[in-house]
Amino acid sequence: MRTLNLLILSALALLLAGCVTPSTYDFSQYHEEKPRSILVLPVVNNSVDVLAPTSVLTTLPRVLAEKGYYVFPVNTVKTLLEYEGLYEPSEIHQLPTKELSSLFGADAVLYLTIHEWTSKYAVFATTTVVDFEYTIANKQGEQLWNTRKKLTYSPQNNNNSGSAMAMLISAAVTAAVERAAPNYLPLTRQANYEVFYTDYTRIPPGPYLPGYDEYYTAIESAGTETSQNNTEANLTAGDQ
Amino acid sequence: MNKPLLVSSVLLIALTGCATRSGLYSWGEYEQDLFNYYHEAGTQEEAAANHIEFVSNIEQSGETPAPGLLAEAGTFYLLAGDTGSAIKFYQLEFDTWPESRPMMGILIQNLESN
Repeated sequence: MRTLNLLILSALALLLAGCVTPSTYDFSQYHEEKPRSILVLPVVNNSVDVLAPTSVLTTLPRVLAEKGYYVFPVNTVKTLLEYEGLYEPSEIHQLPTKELSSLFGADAVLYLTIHEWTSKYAVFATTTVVDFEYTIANKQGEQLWNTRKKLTYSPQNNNNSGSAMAMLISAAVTAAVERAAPNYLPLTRQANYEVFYTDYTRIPPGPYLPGYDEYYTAIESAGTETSQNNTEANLTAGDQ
Repeated sequence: MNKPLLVSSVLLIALTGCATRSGLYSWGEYEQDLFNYYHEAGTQEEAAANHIEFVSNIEQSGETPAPGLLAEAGTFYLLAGDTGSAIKFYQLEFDTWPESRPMMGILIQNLESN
């Protein structure tokens, strides 16, 4: 009986550890700033696909707002910057953060750079790759958070029945489908979700997420921030 | 309750506990509308109209629209040359989200003085 209980406990501990890996990311400055709002700047593109930066931009408001932050309207921000003559995202990223944050009244600014956004064609499989670098700075321009995420998707061909020729044809069809409508957006959403929600880099909750107050109460009552406290607080904040 | 069932129930709860995704807001087709607006030549007006309709419905239902969505409707109006409606939606964003006030305040002021 005792052994069984121990077994259950171990299994549970393993499971919990599986979804709440101990946080080693240093959020101490982030916790001091407690940003309520995030200004998402137009995305810098180092890939050759001209659609990449605006595609990525459309995926960011939701993932951040659902984390409890006020997210400045990305298309309004982009439009106003263009009215100011700022069309080039790389040029915007060069501006002092302080200038941008005070222009919009933002607590924090998110910079995203696309390092890779490709769909590599091979006859029987097409592999889609996204590689993003994310930085959140406070309104003075000091970095609060930074991470990079590269994800790869290659469609699985499950049609294993039938002749060798049938398999070759179905593989070629899968490659064609992936080439015509690459899985950029699902991969992009997955990358966002992982860095903001599930990886050890997952950001603290924003003020509109239930559990926000408990999160910061736990941080403050701990006094010194240990990874243990971060983990507990993240659990509370994510548990709704 | 027998033991295996208890074990699997506990495991199930533990698993669903971490799989849950929060849902604070309705997003409608916001992402798709923006995507079409940026990339699908000839569908810009439709994307803008679709977004405006969605946000207006949310607003009228009494639900809080997601951050920024009211302002985006305002910007679609602004780009279409309808400054009055743009101001109306910027004001709604201002009233709904305190964090938007510095930005919306300046926008409204500039538009009203023109």
